[in-house]
Amino acid sequence: MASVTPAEIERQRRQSRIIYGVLAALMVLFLLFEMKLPFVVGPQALGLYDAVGKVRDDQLVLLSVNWEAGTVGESMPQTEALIQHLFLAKKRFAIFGIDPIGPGFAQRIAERQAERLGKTYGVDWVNWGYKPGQLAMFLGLARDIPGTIKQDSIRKADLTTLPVMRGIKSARDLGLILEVTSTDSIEIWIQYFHGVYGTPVGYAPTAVMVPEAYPYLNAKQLVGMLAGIKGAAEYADLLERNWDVEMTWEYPPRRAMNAVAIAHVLIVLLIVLGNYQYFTRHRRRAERT
Amino acid sequence: MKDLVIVWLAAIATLAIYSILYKENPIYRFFEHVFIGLATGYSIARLWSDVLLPSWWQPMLGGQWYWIFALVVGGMFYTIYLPRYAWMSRLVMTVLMGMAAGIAFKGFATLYIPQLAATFRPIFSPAPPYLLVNNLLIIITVVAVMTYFFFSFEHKSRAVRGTASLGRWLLMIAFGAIFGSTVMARVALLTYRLWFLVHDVPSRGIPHL
Repeated sequence: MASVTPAEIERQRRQSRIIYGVLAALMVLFLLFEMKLPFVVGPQALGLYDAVGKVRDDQLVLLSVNWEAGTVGESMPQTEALIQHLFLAKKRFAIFGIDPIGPGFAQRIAERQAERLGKTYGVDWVNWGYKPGQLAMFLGLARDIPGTIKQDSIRKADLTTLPVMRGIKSARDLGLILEVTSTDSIEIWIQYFHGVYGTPVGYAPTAVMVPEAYPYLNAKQLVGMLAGIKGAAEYADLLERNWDVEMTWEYPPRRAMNAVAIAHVLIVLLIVLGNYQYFTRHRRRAERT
Repeated sequence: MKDLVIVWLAAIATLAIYSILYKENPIYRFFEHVFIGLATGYSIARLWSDVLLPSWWQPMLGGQWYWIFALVVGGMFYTIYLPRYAWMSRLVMTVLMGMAAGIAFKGFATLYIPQLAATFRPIFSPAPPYLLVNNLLIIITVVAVMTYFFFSFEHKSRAVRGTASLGRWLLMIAFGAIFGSTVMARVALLTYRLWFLVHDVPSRGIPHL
């Protein structure tokens, strides 16, 4: 095999920089100017949307938030879409995480949306904070929520004294578990909550984890899914179509999805071009020999 | 003023991290270490305020003195570094392993048995044709991929070889889908940082706008 010369490496580096530049410029263009690209809401996002609507008034929604700063671009719009829907649909919810960073991010979003939509902490929502993701903790949580969580994360108040926790004792009182995550934390909810108590579980992973979730959807172990930023954009579309209230976004998912779509078009074009160049070069070399 | 400083600091950090795309440099390294350090520091602070303080420290000072044993048992893990007392770490590890094995068995049943049952799909029913095609596809994929991973006998028969080969092709398609999703995830993360630079920095980082 012929060795690659330093000049060839430098040429490849230059080409990469041009590609990065073109990619960034195109994406910025699609971010700055709102364009109406064709858009379809998939059955997974619809399933999750319907599941939120089905939660009874005497039940609590558990919003499990396990993402960090590295995946804000996907996980934050997912969390923001779900929190807006929960507030608008008047569903009580608790923020919780087995990742120390996630609940802090979700709390910031919930505080902003609560102020806008006139919701009260401790009545409409609560932050349980962070608990290490040990199996024993999950088993305890399923049987005795106030005994496992003990106090909320903001006021450090006894959980049983908060109106939002009225009548909520165990996994049987949870109407839905929503897992927004960049880690493989979904299995635990399916194994010990859905599998044992039949609690419905919804999933909002980053796009990289989406293919692995299809067996769960196929087996109806998940009620629905938001597939990365595309899922967040689909959910935003559902909210805007079904609620007569203006939605606000720290990072608008529909516009982000436009930029992602144009990046995908460019990447596919470059793959086709690269393969064309490879095969024509190969053929020319074969003809010469 | 505080918001202004935060926005500009974040903008500088973003550009410093993306400078790796041009070439490796010390500014990138510095901000990479800052990011890791911040995440670790925040996690430790959260561990104390959300877990250790309400579940261990406060009950212990509040009269439940027996919580001190949690520290003793936790400390036994660290005896692994002392060869003479390493047997103590094995005690707690054995208990944990036994508990995890028992719980995992239950977890395996609730996780995989519904998935096994879900592969048994009807291919002749009054369902819409696209569902029947989907069902057929699931059944063919499961059989072909399982045949590919069946190593108990040599794949001599032409039918087995063909099925295994189909299984390999289907696996490749699945890997392609996974790789495509990975690209989508990475592009989505880049999009957010670009949004921050072209939207948040001008709107929040420049006072007159």
